[in-house]
Amino acid sequence: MTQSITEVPLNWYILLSTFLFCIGIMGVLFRRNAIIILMCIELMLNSVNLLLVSFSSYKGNSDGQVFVFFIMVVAAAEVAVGLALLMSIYRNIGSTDIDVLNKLKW
Amino acid sequence: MVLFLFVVMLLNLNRESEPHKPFKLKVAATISAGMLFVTLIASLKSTSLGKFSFPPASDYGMVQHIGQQLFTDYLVPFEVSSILFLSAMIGAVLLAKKDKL
Amino acid sequence: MTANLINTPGLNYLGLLIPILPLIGFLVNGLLGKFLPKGITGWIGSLTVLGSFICTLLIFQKLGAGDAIRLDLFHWISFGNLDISFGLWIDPLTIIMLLVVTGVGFLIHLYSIGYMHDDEGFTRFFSYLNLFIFFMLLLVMGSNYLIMFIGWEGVGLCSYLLIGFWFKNDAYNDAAQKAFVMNRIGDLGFLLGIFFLLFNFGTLDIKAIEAIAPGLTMNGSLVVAITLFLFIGAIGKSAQIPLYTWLPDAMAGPTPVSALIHAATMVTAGIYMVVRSNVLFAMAPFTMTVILWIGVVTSVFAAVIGLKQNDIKKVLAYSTVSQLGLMFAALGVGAFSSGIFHLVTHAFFKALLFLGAGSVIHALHGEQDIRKMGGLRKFIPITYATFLLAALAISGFPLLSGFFSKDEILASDFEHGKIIWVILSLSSLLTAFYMFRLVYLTFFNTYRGSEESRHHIHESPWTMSVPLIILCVFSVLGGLLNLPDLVRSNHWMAHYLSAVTAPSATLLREHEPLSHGMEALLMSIAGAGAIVAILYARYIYVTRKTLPEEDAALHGFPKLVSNKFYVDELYEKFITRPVFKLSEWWGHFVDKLVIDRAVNGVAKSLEVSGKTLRLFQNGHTGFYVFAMVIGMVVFFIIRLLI
Repeated sequence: MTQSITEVPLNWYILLSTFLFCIGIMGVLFRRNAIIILMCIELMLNSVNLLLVSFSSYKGNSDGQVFVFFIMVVAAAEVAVGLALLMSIYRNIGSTDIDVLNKLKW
Repeated sequence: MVLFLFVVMLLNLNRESEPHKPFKLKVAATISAGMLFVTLIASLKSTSLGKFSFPPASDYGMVQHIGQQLFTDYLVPFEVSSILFLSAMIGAVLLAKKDKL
Repeated sequence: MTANLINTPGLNYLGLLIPILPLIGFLVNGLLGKFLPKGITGWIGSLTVLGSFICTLLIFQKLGAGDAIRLDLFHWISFGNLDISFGLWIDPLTIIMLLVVTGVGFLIHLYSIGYMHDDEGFTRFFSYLNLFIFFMLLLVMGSNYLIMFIGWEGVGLCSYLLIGFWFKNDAYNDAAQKAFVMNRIGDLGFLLGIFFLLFNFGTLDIKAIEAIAPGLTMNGSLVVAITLFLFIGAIGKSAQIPLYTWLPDAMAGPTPVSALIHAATMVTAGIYMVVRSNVLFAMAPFTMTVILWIGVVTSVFAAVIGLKQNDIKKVLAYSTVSQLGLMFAALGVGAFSSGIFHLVTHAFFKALLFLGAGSVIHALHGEQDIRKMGGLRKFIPITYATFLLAALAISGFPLLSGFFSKDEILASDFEHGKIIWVILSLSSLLTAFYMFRLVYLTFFNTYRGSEESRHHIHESPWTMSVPLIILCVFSVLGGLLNLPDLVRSNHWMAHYLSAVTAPSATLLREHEPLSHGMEALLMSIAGAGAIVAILYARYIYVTRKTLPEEDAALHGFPKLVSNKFYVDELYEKFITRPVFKLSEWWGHFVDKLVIDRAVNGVAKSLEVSGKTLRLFQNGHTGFYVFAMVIGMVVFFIIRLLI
C-alpha cells in the first residue's frame, strides 16, 4: 500500500489541494446563496485536509492526521452553527441571498 | 440525508432563475482566485520539500496509532474539542429556535 | 595691552545698577503708569537716569586709565563649541559713553517734564525714554558683540516708538517706519559681520577678538569683509550716505527725542562700535579708507543741504549728519580718541541746540518754520543766549569746545591727506554759515509771525531752562577735556582712552606728528574761517535782511539743494517702488497660485481619498470576502518577493 502511495509525487497532491482551495474561493465569491457558500467553505477545509494527509503520509508521521482530526471537528461545529444562523436570518429577511445583507456599514 | 441535500444543491437545477452576481464581479473573482493559485504554486516552486522518509513507521495509518496519539500527546486539544462541540450544539439550538409567538 | 581688571563688590554692584535703574523706571512707568499721577511719572523717569549717572560718577572716580571691570552675569548661550555669556564690560571708553548717555540723558528727561507737560501720552513718553536709555546702556556696556547687538536693535526699536510717538498722525508713522527700516538694512550688515566673526573666531567676546585679530592677514579678505559689514551697520545707525535719509524725517518726533536719540546717543552708537573694534578696523586699511571717504562726502553733502532748509529742526538734523560724517572721517584715519572727543562735545552742543529749538517751538506754540520767526532774542533771552553759545561751539569759534574737538580731527586728517583737510574745512565753514543763518533768522531782526502769536511768546519753565544752562556750560568748557599739547595741557581724554585705543595704535601707519607750529597754523585757519563765515552770514541775514525765498520761487541749483538733491525721491523710485511691485507680484503669483494651491491641494487630496475609501464600506458581505481574498493575495505576493 505504501508503495502505491509513493509512486505519486508529492507535488501533484499539493497542486490538487491548491486547486481545490482556489475553486472553493471562487465558489465563495461567485455564489449568492448562503448555503452554497457554506458548502464551498467546507470544500476549502477539505482541501487543506487533503494536503495535511498527503504530507503526513510522505513523512511517515501521523501528526498531520491528528491535525486533520481536529480540523474535521471544527468544521462540523462551524457548519452546525452556520446553518442555525442561516435559518434565523431566513426567518427575519425571507431569503438566503447574501446580497440582501448590506447593513454592516456606516 | 445531508449528503443527499448537498448533491441536490450541487446539481444547481435552477441556474436560470437563480439570482447571479454581476458579471464584473465574477471576472474579478476569477482573476483574484487565479492569482492566489499562481502565487501559491510559485511559492511551492521556491521551497524545497523535505526528504521523503522510507520505510514509514510500522503502524502508520492505523486508527489505533492515531488513537494513541490523541490520548497521549494531543490530549488537551481532544478535551477542548469536546467542549467546542458542546458549545456549538447549544449555540445551534439557541439560534434555530422559533421565537414564541 | 590687557586691561587691569578690578573686582570690588561695591563697584560691581554699581556697575550692575547702571542699566537696571532705567529698566526699573521703564517697568514702573509702563505697567503702573496709569495709576500714578502725571507729575510723579516724569520724576520717576528722570530720577532713575540720575541714579545711573551718579553710579557712573562713582565708578569713574575709581577707574584709572588702564583699568576695567568685567561683570559676567550668567551663562547665556551654551551650545557645542559656542559659549556666550551675558556680561558687562566697563573700561574708560565705556565710562565716557556712560557719562554722556546718562548725563545728557538726565538733562533731557528733566527738560521733557516741562516740554511734554500738556501731552496726554506723558507717562508713555517717559517709559519709552527709560527703555531707550536701558538699551543704549546695554549697547555701550556689552562685553560681547551679541549684547551690543541687543542694545543696537533695542535703540532702533525705541527710536521707532519715539519718532512715531504721536501715532495719530500718518506722516509721523511713516517717518518712524522709514527710520526703522533703514536701520534694519544697516543691522543686516552688522549681523552678517557678527556671523563672520562667530564663524571664523568661534567667539563674540570683544576682548577675545582683540587678542586674536592681530594674527590675521592685514587687509586680507576676511578682515575686510568683517569690518565692511560692521561698518554697514554703523552707516545705518549713524546716518551716513547712503542710509541717512531717515534722520531728517525723524524730526517728526518730539524735540526731546530728537535731542536725545538723534543727536547725542543713538546715532553715536556707530562711532562707539567702530572705536570698540579698533583692532579689527586697524587690520583692514581698506575699510578705513572707505570709512574716511564716506565720512568726508557725507559731511560736506549734508552741510550743503543744510544751507537751504527752512525748518529749524531739519537744519539741525542735517547738521547732525554732517558732524557724524566728520567723526567718521576722524575714525577713518585712526584718530579714535579724537572721534570720541568730538562725540562728547557734539553731544553737548547738539543736545543744547535741539533743546533750544524745542524751547523756541514751545514758545511759538508749534511753529517750526524759520521764515515765520525773527527777533525772538528779546522775548526768550535765556534760550537765545544758550542757543547762540551752542551755535558758536558747533561752528568752531575759538576756545569753545567745538573748536578744540574739530581742530583735532582736522589736524589728524591733515596728516593723512591735504585734499581731505580742504574738504573737511569747507564743510566746517558751511556748518558755521548755516548755523548762523539759523540763529540770525530765528533770533534777530523783527518778528515775522502773526500779531496774536507774538503775544503768547514766553520763556520756558525752569525744568526746560536749567538743562539748557547746564549744557551751555559744558559746551563752552568742554574743550578742557582734551586740550592739545600745544597749550601744554594734559590731553586728558586721549590719555584716558589710550588703553582702549592702544591695540590698534601699533598697527596703524605711523605718522609724523605735526609740529606745534603747523598745528597752531591749522588752528588759526580754522578759527579765522569760522569767524569769517559767521560775519558773512551776519552780513547777509542781518545787515541786508534777506529772507529765504518761498518754495515756488526757487530755480536751478538752489532748488536742487532745497529739495535735498531729490535723494528721497530717487530712493522711492528706484528702490521702494520696485520692491513693492515685486511684493505685489509675488503675493499674486507665488503666494496665491502656488503656495495656496499646494496647501489647499493637501487638504483636497485628503478629502478625495476619504471619499474614495468610504466606498469600500458598502456593507455587502460578498465584497468583504472578496477584499479578504485580495488581501491574502497581496500578502502572499509580498512574502514571495521579499
